[in-house]
Amino acid sequence: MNSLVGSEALIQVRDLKVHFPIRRGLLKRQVGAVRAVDGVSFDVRRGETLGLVGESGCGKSTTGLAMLRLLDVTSGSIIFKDHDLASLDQTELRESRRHMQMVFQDPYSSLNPRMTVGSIIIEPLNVHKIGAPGERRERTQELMKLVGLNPSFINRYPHEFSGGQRQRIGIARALATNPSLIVADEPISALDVSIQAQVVNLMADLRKDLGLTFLMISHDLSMVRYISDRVAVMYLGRIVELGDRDPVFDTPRHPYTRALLSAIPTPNPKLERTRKRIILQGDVPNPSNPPAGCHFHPRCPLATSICKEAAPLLRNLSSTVSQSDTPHFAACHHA
Amino acid sequence: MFNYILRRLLVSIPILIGITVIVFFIASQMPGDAVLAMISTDTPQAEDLVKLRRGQLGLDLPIYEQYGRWVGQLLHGNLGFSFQSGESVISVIAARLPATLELMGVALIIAIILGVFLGVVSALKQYSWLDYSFTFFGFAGISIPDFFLGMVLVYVFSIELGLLPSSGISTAGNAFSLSDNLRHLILPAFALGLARTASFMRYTRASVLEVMNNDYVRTARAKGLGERLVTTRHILRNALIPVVTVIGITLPTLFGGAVIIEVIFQWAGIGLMFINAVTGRDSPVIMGYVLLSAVIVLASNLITDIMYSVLDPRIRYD
Repeated sequence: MNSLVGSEALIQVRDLKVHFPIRRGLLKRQVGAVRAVDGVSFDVRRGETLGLVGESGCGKSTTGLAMLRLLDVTSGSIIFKDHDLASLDQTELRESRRHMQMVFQDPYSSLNPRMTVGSIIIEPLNVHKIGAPGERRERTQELMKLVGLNPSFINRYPHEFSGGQRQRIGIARALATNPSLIVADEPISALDVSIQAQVVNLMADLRKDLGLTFLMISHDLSMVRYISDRVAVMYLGRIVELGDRDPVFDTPRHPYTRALLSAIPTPNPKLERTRKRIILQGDVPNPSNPPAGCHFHPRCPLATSICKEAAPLLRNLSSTVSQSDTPHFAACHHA
Repeated sequence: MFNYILRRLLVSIPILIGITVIVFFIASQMPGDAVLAMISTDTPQAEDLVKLRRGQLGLDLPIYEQYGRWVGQLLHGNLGFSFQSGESVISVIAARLPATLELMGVALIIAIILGVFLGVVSALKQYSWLDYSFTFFGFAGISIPDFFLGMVLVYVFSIELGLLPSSGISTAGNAFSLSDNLRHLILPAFALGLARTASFMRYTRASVLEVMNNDYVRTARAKGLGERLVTTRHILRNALIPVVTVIGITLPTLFGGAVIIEVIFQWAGIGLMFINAVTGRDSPVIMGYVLLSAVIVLASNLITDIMYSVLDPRIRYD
């Protein structure tokens, strides 16, 4: 897998913040903000699959949406093909949309129920004037074949398909403009378990065949381990750990990552019985009022006084890990 | 689809029978009858006259027999003759119906255009001052009864400002002209249309808001569509489906509401005819009106269902 991955960054996210204002009262004054994403920086390298994991509400979907400017960015920059997406105007943004596409979580609500499969897939081709008008329908059928749909279903409506098939339609639609980056926001969590593997494998194959770059947002750790080259772990709007897949899964450096990974069940019942789980105390704090210092300190078994005061920076720890020479970042004072 | 329509039409036959039976018997229970409404008891030999007239009209028969005679005529395509004028009910209705359809149609067009437009604006600018003021007027519009609104409109535009005529379908004594007719139409059409405007606006707003939050709208933006296309092609096309149903359901209430408006504005339509028939205990005319309104209700429900399947590919009847 790694042979496909260059070291060149396709998209660089720097100090991305997405805050949702909380307005109260008669005059709708802003009384605070939900800091969904609070200073996130990472690169997605050309050709890789970067897994973005974390529990519900940690800001991973918001990060994905903001990267494609489907949400307004509060501050920070998103460098993609020498442009800062965060500061593009609507016209430039629309043009850049053809290079980056999204696969959504819910294959039921993400397809317009009144459009046929064909018109759903062909629409981006028409918008961006890709190919001669006469060839677009043929291209649509090719795309359907590519994702494993029968091209003769081109005139059917989304409700005539199963969840897995609908997600294939969503993928075909995302591929229509020949994008270089695909952000997949929990692409399989709405699907039956039996279908999940098919869709994951489809995405892995497409990545290989078409040279795509994926940002895979998920809370399904096993799936992320299966498909990703690198993994970023988010907690309460910040990235707490980022590195190659195996080091992150085998020797996690951040106490939150350790707790998260310890929640993956083992299929072997004997091992499962002896498996040690790290149970975190308490709930995720409210993102409108995150704890000072390290966001994780109220629940962290390692927390000391410094964690309450200073927010730890994401720093490269690979020099202290002998088994790997690739960068392995973690944001922890005690890592 | 054809079978579905046929089945719906067959089902509507017993419904129509039920409606006419119930209304016929209720109407017969009204105090007095057509003969007493026409012949004063002060008339010499009133009793004999009343008896004679009742015999001519068949009012001395038992009620089930009267109903049987009415149905018998109906099956021959005859709705009977008005007790008051002796004209055939069909020709009375045919003469009056165009005025009512004109009133209903214009009121409906006003309601659809205004209501859908304001609703869409309201939803796209959710929680703006515009949205709040539309919402306020929407509630006011739903809460104010038609007849009261009608009287307010007459007071303001006819009595105070003297801009528009307050009653009739055209100026008496003048030859009929369309512009004169339309001038008379404005106030009653608005009185009838504004309450529906408010409800269409509320439905449109709610429906647009619901669709706006669907992932496929976000998908459309992700495809690179401009906001105008996102709004027209993805939001409105889906949001207006439920609005069509509401319009269909509104048709019968529009027909009923027209009765009151026609009385207030002396609009010589079928509603005014109905009120006159009720005061005159003119049961053939009453029954003709009831039958017509029952058919309108059933037809608009059927048309709504058919429209629904045309607009929404997920709905198929068979």
